[in-house]
Order: sequence, then C-alpha cells, then structure tokens
Amino acid sequence: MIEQPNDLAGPLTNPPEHHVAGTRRVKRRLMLAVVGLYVLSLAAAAVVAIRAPVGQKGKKDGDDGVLGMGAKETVGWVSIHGVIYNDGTRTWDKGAYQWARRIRMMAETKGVKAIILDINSPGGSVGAVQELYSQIRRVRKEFNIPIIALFGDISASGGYYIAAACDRIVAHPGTLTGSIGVIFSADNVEGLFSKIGFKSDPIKSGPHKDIGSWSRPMTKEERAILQSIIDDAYEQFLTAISTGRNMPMDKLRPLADGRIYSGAQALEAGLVDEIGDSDTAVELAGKLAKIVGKPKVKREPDTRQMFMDLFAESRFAGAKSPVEWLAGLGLRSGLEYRWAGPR
Amino acid sequence: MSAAEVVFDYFEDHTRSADSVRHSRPVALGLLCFAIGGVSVFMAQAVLGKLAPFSFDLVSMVLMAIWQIAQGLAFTAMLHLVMEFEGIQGSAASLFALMGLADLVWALAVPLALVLRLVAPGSGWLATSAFILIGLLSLGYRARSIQDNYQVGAARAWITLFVPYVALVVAMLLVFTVAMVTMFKQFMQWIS
Repeated sequence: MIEQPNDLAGPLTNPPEHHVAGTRRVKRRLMLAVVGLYVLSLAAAAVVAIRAPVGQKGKKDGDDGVLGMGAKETVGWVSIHGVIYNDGTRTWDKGAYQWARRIRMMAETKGVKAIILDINSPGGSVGAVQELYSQIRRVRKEFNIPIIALFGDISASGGYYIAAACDRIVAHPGTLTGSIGVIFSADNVEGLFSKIGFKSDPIKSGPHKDIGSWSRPMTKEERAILQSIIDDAYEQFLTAISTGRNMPMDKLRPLADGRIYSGAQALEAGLVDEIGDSDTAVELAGKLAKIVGKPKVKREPDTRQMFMDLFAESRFAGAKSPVEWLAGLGLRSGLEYRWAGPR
Repeated sequence: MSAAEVVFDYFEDHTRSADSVRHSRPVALGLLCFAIGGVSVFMAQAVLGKLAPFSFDLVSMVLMAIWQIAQGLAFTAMLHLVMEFEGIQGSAASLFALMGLADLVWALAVPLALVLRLVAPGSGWLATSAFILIGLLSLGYRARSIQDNYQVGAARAWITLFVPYVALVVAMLLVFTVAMVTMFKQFMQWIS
C-alpha cells in the first residue's frame, strides 16, 4: 500500500494557515474586482439614462444614443378622439391638457421625427381648443418637428381649428369637416318649469349676471352682448386658420359660414392638403421629416389613462342616475367651437 | 469571515456560505443586498427606458430600493412561517440574509441592459426575456437558500418558495372577486 504524503492530505483535512490566508486574499480581490465592475456599470447606466433617455426626457438634435446606435427614426401617432374639453388635469383624465401633454411627450421621445395627429372630433369648448392649438404650434416650434393632421369620420369646428395648427392636413374623401364658427347653446325651459311649478328668482349684482339663464327668455341687450362675444371668438377662429394654413382672410371668410364639407369638397376649397388614409399620412410625415424608406409608426398608449378608462367604464360607485346622465349629454353650456351635428 | 467572502462563497461554495451565515446572521448584509438588487433593477429599467410610472431621479431609486427590501422582508417572513408550520427549524435572520444574497443576481441586469441597448436598441421582447432569465436565476438561488438554511431537499424548497406567490395570486383573485361582486351590487342598485 502506498502511503499518502502529508502535504497532499492537506486539503482533505485542515489547510495550512498560509493557504487559508492566500485564498481569502484571492476572494477579496476577486470580490473587489466584481464590485468595481458593478460600480462602473452603474455609472455607465446613469450616464446613458441621463444623456440619452428612451421616452423619458428631452432629446437633443443629432443625439442618436450610445455609439450612435439609438432608436430608429419613427413617426409618432397621437389620437384625439371625442369632444375637446378641459375636464380635468389628472394625468389619466381625457381633455385638452392631457392631449397636449401626450403630443409633447411624443415629440420628446427619442427617434420620433414627425407626429401624426389622428383627429376624430366635432370640436369642443373654445378654451380647450385654443389650448391645444397653441400647444401644437409651440411643440412644432420647440422641437422643429412636422405635425400632420389625419381626419377620421368627423373633424369639424374645433377639430378643424386644432388641425390648422399642423403642417399638413390629410382627410378621407368622406370625412365631415369644416363647420368653422362659434356657437353658444342657450336653452330656454321656462315653459317646462312653469308646468311643474318651478320658478327661478336669482339675486344678482348686475342686470346681466345671469346672462344665458335657461329659466327666462333672453333680452335683446343680452343677445347683443353674446353676439359680440361670438363674433370675437369667430374672428379668433378665422385668424387661427389663416395663420396656421397661410390662407388669406378674404378667401377663408366665404368658406367659414358654419357649413360642413366632405373631405373631397374641403380639398377643393383648400381647407385640407391631401385626400388619403393613414398610410398617406405616414408617408407624408416621413417625407416632411426626411426619413429614408417607409417610416415605422410609434403608438404610445398612456397606460395610466387606459387603466383609468377601464376603471371608469366599470365604475358605478357614485355614478349619476340615468336622468342626470342624459341631461349632462346635451346641456353643457358655454362658448363652443363645436359642430352640434345630428344626435 | 468577511462580507466579501460570504458573497463570494454564496456563488462559489454555497454550503460554506450558508454555514457562515447561520453563525453570523448578517442581516445588514441582507439589507444591503436587497437594496443593491432594487437599485440594479431601477438602473437597468432606466437604461432600457422602461421606468414608467417612475422617472429617473433619486427619490424613485430610493423608493425602488425600499420596495425591494420590504418585499424581501415580507417574503422571508412568509417562507419562515411556512417552514415553522411544517415543523422545520431554521433561522429567519439567516434566511433573510441568504434571500438578499440571491437578490444580488439582479446586479447582472445593469451590464446586460447596457449591452442590450447597444446591440438591440428598442427591442422590447429581448429586454423582457433578459429580465425573465435573471428573475428565474434569482428564484433558483432563493430555492437553494431555503435548502441550505433549513436543510431540506430541492423539491421541498421549490414548493415552499412558491407558497408566497400562490398566496399572492389567491389574495388578488379574492380581491378581484370581492370587487366584482361589489360592482355588480352597485350596478343593480343603479339600474333599479
């Protein structure tokens, strides 16, 4: 039998002191190297996240990410569907502020070189429409990015107003557009109130404080006041279109009597630039942004809004009664760039 | 044994590391490892532009680290409770430390995210696959930690590991069911 030498038996029993100390030293050095590499990668990650964020913060011109391998050039897609109001300022609300925020976020997204605004709206309140109009113009100027409006079924009144802020307008031949004008819906339910024995008796600080009240007929003086406001808002509408579309006032005014146009008629009248579909809009956007080849479309859903929409649709707690709900549909008063349309 | 050696042994010689952790119960090391895991996930997400709803700032990063520590604590507590119910002895403090060490695997996510950003920018599925892979690796280390801490077999460790996840799913289903019933009741009230 061969006897095992003592030094070979070492690792199987107790390792010598110097060997343990050596192993510890090696482990510590290796760990130090790993920690060093980790800290380096953290620093690199911080630099990348700050310098070239993806869809988080502002991008810089010509900044194509790390080693020039950034995101591909794309066309952003933002949908504006429904009546335009300033209903809420929470991020998941639907309204002019949120749409403006989404347009800005899309412009800030890395790789997005042009934006398509998919508009399907009969317009909305004057303030909300003007908010969107000026925000679109601001984004265009700030980011030097072309914005193309694509009309869906209806892009009338305020829907057309916001499109005028874009570089180009693409419409379907059958899109309903136009309806350039202002409306102040004043209902009078005095007869109904008298039937149910309801009488309104407001205490006012001035004779016109309850102007537009629905419990009494409108006076001639009140009508004149409202008309002057409407005329002023109408002039603002015309100025916005004239500025946005570079259209002379004398050419625009005869078209702006409140009538609606089909997409084909609007093209003939010079209110839209092209007849086409979503592909036409994408190609046009790519062309204006000088994107080589067929551009990819980036749709960025607002997950919070989607979630809140889902919640809102299934939310019955604190819901209005059917009567309140129906009443709310038609009785939103105020100055509107909105096509009332068939209900 | 120093913290560096414990970490080294955890990946190189886990039984030796588990012995050491059982004796010294380095809770602070566990906390640090969980925090590093959280920070790593945060940084990797920032590099890949997938931070929503967070933004890239210090507060969000600290929140992420705190979240990781909190979930680590809850997870350890739950696992220890399950083991205690089964009559298996072991230290909760050393399990916490070992779980933290398992979370260190998330440190891999940072260099991986950087590489992905270089090689395939904007590739969502690749990033998701990488995160899933690291997650699975972390789960593997967690299972091994249970095995080492309570001296149980691999199958038992894996089953125990999934108990908190199953409990979470059951709790979510329960909440969902209660929410649906409440909504249905309110809907009935609304239409009546």
